[in-house]
Amino acid sequence: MSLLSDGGPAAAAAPSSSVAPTAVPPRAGVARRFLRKPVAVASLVWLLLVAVLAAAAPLLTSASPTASSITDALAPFGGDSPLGTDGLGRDVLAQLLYGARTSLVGALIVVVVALVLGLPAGVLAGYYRGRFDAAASWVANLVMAQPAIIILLVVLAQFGRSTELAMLVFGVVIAPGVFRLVRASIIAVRGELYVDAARVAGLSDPRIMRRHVLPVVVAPTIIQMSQVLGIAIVLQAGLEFIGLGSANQASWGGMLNDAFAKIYAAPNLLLLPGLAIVVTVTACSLVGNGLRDVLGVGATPPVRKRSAVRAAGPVVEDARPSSGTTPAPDDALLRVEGLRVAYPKPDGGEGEVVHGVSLTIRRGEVHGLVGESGSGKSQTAFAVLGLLPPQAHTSATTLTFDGGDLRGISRRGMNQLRGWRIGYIPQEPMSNLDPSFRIGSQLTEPMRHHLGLSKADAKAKAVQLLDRVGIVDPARVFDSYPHQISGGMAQRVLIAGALSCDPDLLIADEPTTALDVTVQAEVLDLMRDLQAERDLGVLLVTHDFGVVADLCDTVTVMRAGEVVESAPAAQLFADPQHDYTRSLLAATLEGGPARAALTTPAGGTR
Amino acid sequence: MLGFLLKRLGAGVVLVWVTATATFFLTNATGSDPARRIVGAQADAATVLAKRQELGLDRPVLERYWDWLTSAVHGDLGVSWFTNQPVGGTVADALPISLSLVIAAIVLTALVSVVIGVLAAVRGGWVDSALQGASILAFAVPNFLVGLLLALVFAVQLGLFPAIGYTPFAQDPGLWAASITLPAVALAIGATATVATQTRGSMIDVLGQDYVRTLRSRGLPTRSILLKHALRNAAPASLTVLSLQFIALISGAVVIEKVFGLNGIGERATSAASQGDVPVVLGVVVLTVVLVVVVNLLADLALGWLNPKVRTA
Amino acid sequence: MRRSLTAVSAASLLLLAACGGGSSSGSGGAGDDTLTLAAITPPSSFAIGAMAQSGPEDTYYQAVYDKLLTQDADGKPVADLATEFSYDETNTTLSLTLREGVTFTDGAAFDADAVKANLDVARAATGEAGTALGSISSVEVVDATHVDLVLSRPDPGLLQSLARSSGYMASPDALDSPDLATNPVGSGPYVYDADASTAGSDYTFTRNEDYWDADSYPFDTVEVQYLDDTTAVLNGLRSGQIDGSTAQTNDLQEGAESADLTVTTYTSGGIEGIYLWDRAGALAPALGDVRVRQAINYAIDRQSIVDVVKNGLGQPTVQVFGPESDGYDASLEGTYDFDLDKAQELMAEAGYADGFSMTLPDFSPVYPDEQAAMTEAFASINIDVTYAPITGDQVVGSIIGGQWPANFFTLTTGSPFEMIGLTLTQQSPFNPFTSSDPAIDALVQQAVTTPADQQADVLQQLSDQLVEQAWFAPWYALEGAYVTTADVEVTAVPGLSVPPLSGFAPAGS
Repeated sequence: MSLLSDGGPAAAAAPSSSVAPTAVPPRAGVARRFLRKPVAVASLVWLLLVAVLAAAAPLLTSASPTASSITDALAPFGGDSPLGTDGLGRDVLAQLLYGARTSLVGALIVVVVALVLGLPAGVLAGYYRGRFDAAASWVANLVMAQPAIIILLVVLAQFGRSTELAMLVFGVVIAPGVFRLVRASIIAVRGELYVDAARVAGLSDPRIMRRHVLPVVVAPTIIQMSQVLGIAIVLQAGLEFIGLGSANQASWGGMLNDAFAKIYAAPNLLLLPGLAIVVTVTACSLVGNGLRDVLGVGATPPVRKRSAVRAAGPVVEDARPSSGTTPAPDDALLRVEGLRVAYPKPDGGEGEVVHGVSLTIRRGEVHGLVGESGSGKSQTAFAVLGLLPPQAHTSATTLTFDGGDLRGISRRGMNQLRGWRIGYIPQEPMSNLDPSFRIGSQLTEPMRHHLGLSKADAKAKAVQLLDRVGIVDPARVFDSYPHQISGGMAQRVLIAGALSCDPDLLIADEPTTALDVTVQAEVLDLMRDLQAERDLGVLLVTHDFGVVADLCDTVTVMRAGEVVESAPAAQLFADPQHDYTRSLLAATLEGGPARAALTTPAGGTR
Repeated sequence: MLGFLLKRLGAGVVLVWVTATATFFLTNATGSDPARRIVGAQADAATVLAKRQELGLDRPVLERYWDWLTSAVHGDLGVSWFTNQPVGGTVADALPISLSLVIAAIVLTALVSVVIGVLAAVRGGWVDSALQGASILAFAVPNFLVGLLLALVFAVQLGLFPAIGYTPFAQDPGLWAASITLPAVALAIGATATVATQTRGSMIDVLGQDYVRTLRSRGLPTRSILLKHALRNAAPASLTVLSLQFIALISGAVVIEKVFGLNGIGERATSAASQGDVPVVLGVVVLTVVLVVVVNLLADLALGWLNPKVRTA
Repeated sequence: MRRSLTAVSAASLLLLAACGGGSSSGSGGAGDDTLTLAAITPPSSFAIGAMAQSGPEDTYYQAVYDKLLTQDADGKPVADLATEFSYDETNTTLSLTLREGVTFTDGAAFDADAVKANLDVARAATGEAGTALGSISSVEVVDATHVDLVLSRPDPGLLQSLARSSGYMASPDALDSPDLATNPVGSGPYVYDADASTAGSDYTFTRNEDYWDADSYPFDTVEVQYLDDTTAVLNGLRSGQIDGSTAQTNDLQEGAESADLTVTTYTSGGIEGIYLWDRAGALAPALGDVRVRQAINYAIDRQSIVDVVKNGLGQPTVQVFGPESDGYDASLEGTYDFDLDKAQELMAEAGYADGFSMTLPDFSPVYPDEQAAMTEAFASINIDVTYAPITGDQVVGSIIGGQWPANFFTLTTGSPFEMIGLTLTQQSPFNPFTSSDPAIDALVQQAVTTPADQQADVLQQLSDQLVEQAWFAPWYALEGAYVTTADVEVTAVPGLSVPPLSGFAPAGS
């Protein structure tokens, strides 16, 4: 028994970031989708069955659950008592049926009390915030800090042993959980545009609440309540066990307690009430989980595949060449031929997002990979790095780095290349630094791993690198945490990180997109200098022809997963062959920020 | 950081005070006369009066409250009405038992749920499904039932552990560990289900973060990425749930203690509460809430230590 | 074995890898020289006069204290610290001759002054042990080894009381210390070892090396563990952590039998049943009507209860004077044979055909089966019972305090006089509503003053009155049962609900 105040094992109720839906969940078809989940349906059926049996108890048995008939003690199955009698001759079937009443009524009391207290308070606190929110949150925290059992003991000692009172009190104890969940959901939706719009449109508060706010609360609350039902039933059993339930009232917990004392004399008595509790509570959890899946809120879905960090096996599969391969230049650093990336679709098939891309980068060559969002350019870059999600299915006819075949390479082998011979610069500087570790530690860890540097040497090299990427006070930044530096600085740090082990190839994924315009220019300058200085091969993924013009020797243009055109930069700008290239160029030359003009909402580059 | 802690400490003091006050007035609200209850029916009116005066029950409740509060602030929780023993001592006798149990359970919970949570998040597949199933089941089986089964199998049948009773640590650390193992395991199972589920969730969240991909792009070994970086970033959420679980474990301990014949805080609380031994009830309440406050402070400290934004502020 | 146990548990605590190699049963204090017993209650107090009169707490007290008198194998008071005892001809002065050479464990000498100091403290106290000394008006020191107890009235129960917890002697130097309640200083066979004990949980007593009768106590160490849960007790016995426990519930007995533990039975002197306190109808007006009280007696199926609830360990009776005692009148036994029609008729006559309701203490944690049987009996004559929660240490106080109109209860006495002292006089603790009746009061007076050889007749008349007026609704004279493991043998004393500490010996000795 876990006297939790914040919900069940699935943490469906945890008012954490994972809840807070950002839009009203689709309501239509909820029932239909729920019905497609056999486990959840079976659980629901069980709960309904228990409820019906409990309600119909007097019709199903004429025996009284509490009347003992000591001459008929421990009767076996069958006969007058279909499920036998306990040590005092009480009818086990009657006890189970009436006990279900006690359990369900008790659990409902908890749910009702928790809702009556938690729901309105949570709605008001979340919607209006301010003083009421402060006060209500304070009370909620106060209650949550109390061990439930202590409150129950004190209250029951004052007002007498009673299952109903205990459940009432437990409802109060658990109400803060409801309050917090509701409040968090409301705060999340309150900032949404459509709520603002409704307000601007002059809708009254109650109306906004009814139309836009309350629906958001319903799903997580229902899920939470299904968990609470289970908690209440388990808790009740515990209370019976320590002697705080109502005397002379059949209950599953009480049966369990009686059976407990007879564990050696009549161990079989433990079975039925034990099963009743376990199955019913499990059913509550499973219904909750089913609802959660259907309504699409709450906890993280099951992990079907091994996660990316642990995925084993080859990164890229060998694929039969579909056409003759082009001869490779002697100084080719990276050769990609017929690269395909596909993802499994819900229907069991696969959707290909990169359709046979080929490109070659020579030592010291800056190769731009250009396209709109969703064109597959980032997928291509990640495929080379072996950083696609584990469910991605990647194949290529040729994939070599510095002459070595990357197809079928082990993760270990890939780790030897990544970070060491191939550097990577991500797009968003702030989200790509581990917030929990100092910059210095994040910079030195790969160096120590790959180059076997001592701590001091690694630090010296890191500071030197930081200095090289234009950070004014490298020692300070070395000791800083990511949140203590600016975005521009963070991007410089990431560039330093990518270069730390002196790689031959740099893969940069929109390295300046997330930065201010002035900082963009500085970072591009830096990259150009570093590239020249170290004679790096660079794969520069971008949608910005300005950047391409600034840095690139060669350009490959992608659309919808295919290469539409590949040419030396000067040639491409002077004489674009493909209509698509021309339209991209035109958009850039019109002067507007290329990004805004070209970004389409569909898909994503990552 | 210091300011933050002071603020939390202040909130903790307020929490203790509010709880103690509420309990004081609740337990003093009953109409029955404790003095009569204590001295018995034969006692004449003078004896009852004397007892009432001795207990100070003839004075206005606010005055009694003030006296109790001022003594309590000085560490004096009064004496039991029924045994005349100092409440502090009575509760202190029981504290090591419950504390051993709860701490052992929380340590077990932390260790096991990290292992299970990380495995489920990383391996996925059947490991993950097994965790989900086990956590639902662990939640549904009343812990005293688990305790009973553990006692039957590991103590009575196999004789590996004591079935009942408690050996103080100072007396024999080995026997101490043996005496709390089974109850701690019984207690930890429910909490482990919750914390492991949380750990799994936050690990999955963290593993989906950009910086994990960047770390991978640096060619770092999987072990380092998982156990150093990901776990570190998933820890705060797990720790928060763990500190909430501490409160739940105190509740669970009351039940588990009974199964294993451990006369800890739970036994004191249960008997004092039904006896109407107000000073002992107040003592137990104050003590448990202080415990909760201390644990929350420790959790805050740990969270602060884990969160550079707080640490460097 | 302890080493391996330690290793296993330490490892499993860390790793949860609990299944280890197979050491077999037995851990804890069940060694040859240690006796570990379970008690269903912790000692409420070791203070003189505050102790419970008899029952489960005795085990704690017997370890550290000697009594003035003790009970022999038949339950009769015999010499202990007092080597001789005699009444004067008016039965109002009890002269005691004291054992010489006894010292308390703090070095104080046991002498007449110590006896006076103890009895004076006890008489002033309000506990059970103290109130049993109510008839003593003064304690006169004659010389160092002789003391006279001057009584305000003849008290045939006094010797029994002095052979129970009223007779415990603590060091006179410790008597005034409030510390005595938790840290007893006596002259008994053992010394309380506070360091090895956890107050309120388990109590360790080590041998008193200077004890004058060490041979009666073969164990070097005695541990008494407070355990109030039947399953926990059984688990303790089965795992060998506990050597013995009273088996006052059916569950414990059955469990013990099915586990091949030794169950020793004995006449405990206990009368179990419904004690109807509220004969004046203060809390439950209906109980003021004798017909209602009789109806309750008729509604009880004593034989079935003994068979099912007590596993046969009991003798059905309608009297509170035990079958072995001279107050027992065998001819009364047919008076209230189970007869529901008669019971309902009486209820109807009294105007309670539809019954009534009352609130009784909830003893289901200790007496689940008995309480169920009582509920069944009450329900059969439409009496609706609400149970109020209560804990073990509160039971006696609340009954004495007049909180309940009646309740299921056990009173264990060694003689009818003790029962009279406990339940029938105006001073009796278990006469919470100070019930009185001219006929009963007269017979009580007569019994006390009658010469010993004619007492039986008077006591039987008294029993007759009690049965006719249905002051009680006894069910059966209890046979006690004590469960022990194979390591220990126990000899019980009739009339004592728990075998005395001196009755325990290692098996085969």
